[in-house]
Amino acid sequence: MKSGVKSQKSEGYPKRSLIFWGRRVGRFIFLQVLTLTLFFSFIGVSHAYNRIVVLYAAASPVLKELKAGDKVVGVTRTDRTFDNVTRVGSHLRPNIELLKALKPDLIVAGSKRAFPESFSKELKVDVFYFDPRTLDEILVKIKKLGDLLDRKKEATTLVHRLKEKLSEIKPLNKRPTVIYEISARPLKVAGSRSIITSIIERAGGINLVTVKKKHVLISPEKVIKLAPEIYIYQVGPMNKNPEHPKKREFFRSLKSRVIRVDEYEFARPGINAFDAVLELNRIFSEIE
Amino acid sequence: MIELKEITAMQGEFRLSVESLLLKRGDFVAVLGNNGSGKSTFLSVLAGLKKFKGGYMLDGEEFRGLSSRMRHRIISLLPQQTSLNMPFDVHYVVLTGRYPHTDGRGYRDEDMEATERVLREFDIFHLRDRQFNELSGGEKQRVLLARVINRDSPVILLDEPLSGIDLRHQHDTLDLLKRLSKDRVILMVVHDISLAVREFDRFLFFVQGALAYDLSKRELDEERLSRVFGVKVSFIRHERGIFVYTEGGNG
Amino acid sequence: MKRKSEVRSRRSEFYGSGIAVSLLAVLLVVVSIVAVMKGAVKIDFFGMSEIEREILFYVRVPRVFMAGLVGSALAFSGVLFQYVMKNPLADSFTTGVSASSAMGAVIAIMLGLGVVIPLFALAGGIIGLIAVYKIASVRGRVQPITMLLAGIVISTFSSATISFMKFLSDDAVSSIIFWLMGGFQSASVKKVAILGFVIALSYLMIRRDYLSLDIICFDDTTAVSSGVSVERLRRKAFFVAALLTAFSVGYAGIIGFVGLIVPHIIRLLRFVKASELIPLSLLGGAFFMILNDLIARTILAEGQELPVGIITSSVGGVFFLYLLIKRKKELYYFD
Repeated sequence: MKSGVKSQKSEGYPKRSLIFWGRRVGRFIFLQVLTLTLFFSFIGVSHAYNRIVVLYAAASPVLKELKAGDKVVGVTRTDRTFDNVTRVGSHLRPNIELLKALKPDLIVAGSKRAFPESFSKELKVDVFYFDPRTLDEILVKIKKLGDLLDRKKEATTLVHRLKEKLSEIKPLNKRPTVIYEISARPLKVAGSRSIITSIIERAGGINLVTVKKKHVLISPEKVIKLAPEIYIYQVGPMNKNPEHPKKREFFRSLKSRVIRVDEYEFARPGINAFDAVLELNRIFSEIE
Repeated sequence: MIELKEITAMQGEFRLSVESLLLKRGDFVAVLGNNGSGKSTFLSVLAGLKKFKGGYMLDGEEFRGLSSRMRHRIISLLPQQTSLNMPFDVHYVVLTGRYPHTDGRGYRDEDMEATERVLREFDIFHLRDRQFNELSGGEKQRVLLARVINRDSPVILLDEPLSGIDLRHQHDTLDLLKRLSKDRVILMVVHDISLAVREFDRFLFFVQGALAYDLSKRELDEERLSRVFGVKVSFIRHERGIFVYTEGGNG
Repeated sequence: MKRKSEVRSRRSEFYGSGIAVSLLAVLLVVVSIVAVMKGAVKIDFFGMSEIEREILFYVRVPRVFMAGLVGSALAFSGVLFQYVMKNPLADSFTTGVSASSAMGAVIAIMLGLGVVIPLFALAGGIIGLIAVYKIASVRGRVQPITMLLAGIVISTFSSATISFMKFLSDDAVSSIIFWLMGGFQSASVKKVAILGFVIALSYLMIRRDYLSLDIICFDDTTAVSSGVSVERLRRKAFFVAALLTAFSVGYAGIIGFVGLIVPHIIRLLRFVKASELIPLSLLGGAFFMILNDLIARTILAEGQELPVGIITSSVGGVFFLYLLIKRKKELYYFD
């Protein structure tokens, strides 16, 4: 709304603001219709989701915890949460034929980029985007999934349990500064839109990289200048066998304590993230 | 200067053979024959561009024993067609003719001076800063001729050097070549028999890959010419020289 | 008198290229100084802290040098490929050497051998080169057109392999894509030294052949009958160019267009002889790349970077459009 007020003030361009408002209203109506449609479709079929395909591996453990595992009929190639389900390919490029053959009624996808809405229209299937950026958003998504799958009780229990977990966090005397390396080559670090930032903050630390992105391609000199107390580098598919940061020549003046973590435990916005918080908190307090 | 013995060379299915041939300084030779008779192949063999069998002495030395640079200090060749894919100016194109004389690293002052002389001789001095590829066909041909002459080599091989050149410059060029041939060997592939008969004093005739005749001007006769070319050739003798009249068909 | 003045005017042409070299060298020094001064971290040059000194000497200066050397290597290899292939559009891309180097690099990534990426790139580049060479040479002669076709085949095959590997592991995609875009983040004194050595060696090897490189711009008959060992020269230039490409790809990924743009601009400025073209391309390549990297690492705030390939490719794309529309004639003559 803020920008709307602004453009009203700029009297020099009445036409422009007219168009602006026209668009605004148009978008509003469009969104209303969309929400209503979605709302009704949810009411209509809320009990009917019996064939779920999970295209985002981090969501699978959630479904398992919600005791909806028996409804899952398809997962991605790398997903090892469920046995005896069809592997439909990669999360970015699922096999459409396999998908169709599974006749899913719900697809759980990571992002609109990975699974555009046009796909869901084509397949005549509902999509649930599991794309939390913070720990709180994970809890919200769990609740929503619980509603969708008629597993409200399980969802509440899970959310409660996860919140319990967070209560084990030990308070720190001082908040340590952190930089988290996503990949070494190119040098990418976690930005403020990454689940990592939320994990670091809950664990009692501060992510020094505040760029509003998930992953930030960063100048090595900036990392040195920011001089984090702790430099965390993940190892996993995104960072296969990286060189130890202290062995890289451009990091020779990096004084930080270096910690190596598993990408699967940290960089996935699922249940694991809560364990990651605890582990990181443990590390922080040990260092203290 | 050039001594050939039982030379044979293969060009695919085509076979070139020269029994024996001796060329001395001062020879101004026309190489004649129909298409595909082996004229260009012959020049290629002489210039060392083709593998051959047989004996080839160049300037008293075994040809095979000479380094590439030495060979081309002695021989310069103007191929039938030349292409250039860099926008070099005319001066530089002519200058590159001096390459075998250099140490490979740079052209010397004397190369520059020789180039300037040749540019003037071929009446292309005014074109020296123009891009070679922007010239007309005849101008290009004169530049390429100048490039070959700039080598200042004792043996000069020219494959149809006059094609595309206007009459005036044809005459100038021929006069220049004649003058140069006083102390060199110049071989030139010619298609115009009248011109050949008028201007040259030695003739090599190729028929189906073989050097068929090696004749001096006096030895030329109509019958042999007719047989070589497959057209009726008659001479009209005139006080200013021999004129050639040809009739196509069954002659 | 006139004769002497002609010689002198040719000399002055030589000085003309000398002036161009000095001018470009000055520009290079200026852009290098700016590149050293600017960066994600502001350095107070008159009261450097310990950490600023470290950043300057172990991060920024090596990076500027690395960018410059990779630019030189790519421009140099571009020039050489253009001589060998007699094609103005030839460079490390069209011969397939870049792509096969990148394939080697991506294989290293997939195998999780991050540390030896440059070695794999080198191996990939040389395998690609030998393949192109084997396909394109008939009885020891390298046919330029067949070589171009072979280059396309190798490139296509390499890209297909890269795509396949991308498909095999979606998570490493961003890493691979960046690799294909190139960059200088991991510059180090050691890499700079090795690359500098490779370029110096290549330069010394080719410097003796300036005149003959010009002569192989003629058709082969003319070139051979001018006393140039055409095949030997082509082979040599080809291998030197491949070596330069493999080292640049190994250290900095594929960075497109530099090998085309830089020599083209220098030729458009009427420096067409190898003795002018090669030194100017070395300087021009360094200048162009340092500038691009400077933009790539300073255009965004908070120490963020852009992959440098995005900048070279967009500058290169615009330039090529200009070339195709306005300067068709030059392209045509070169052909």
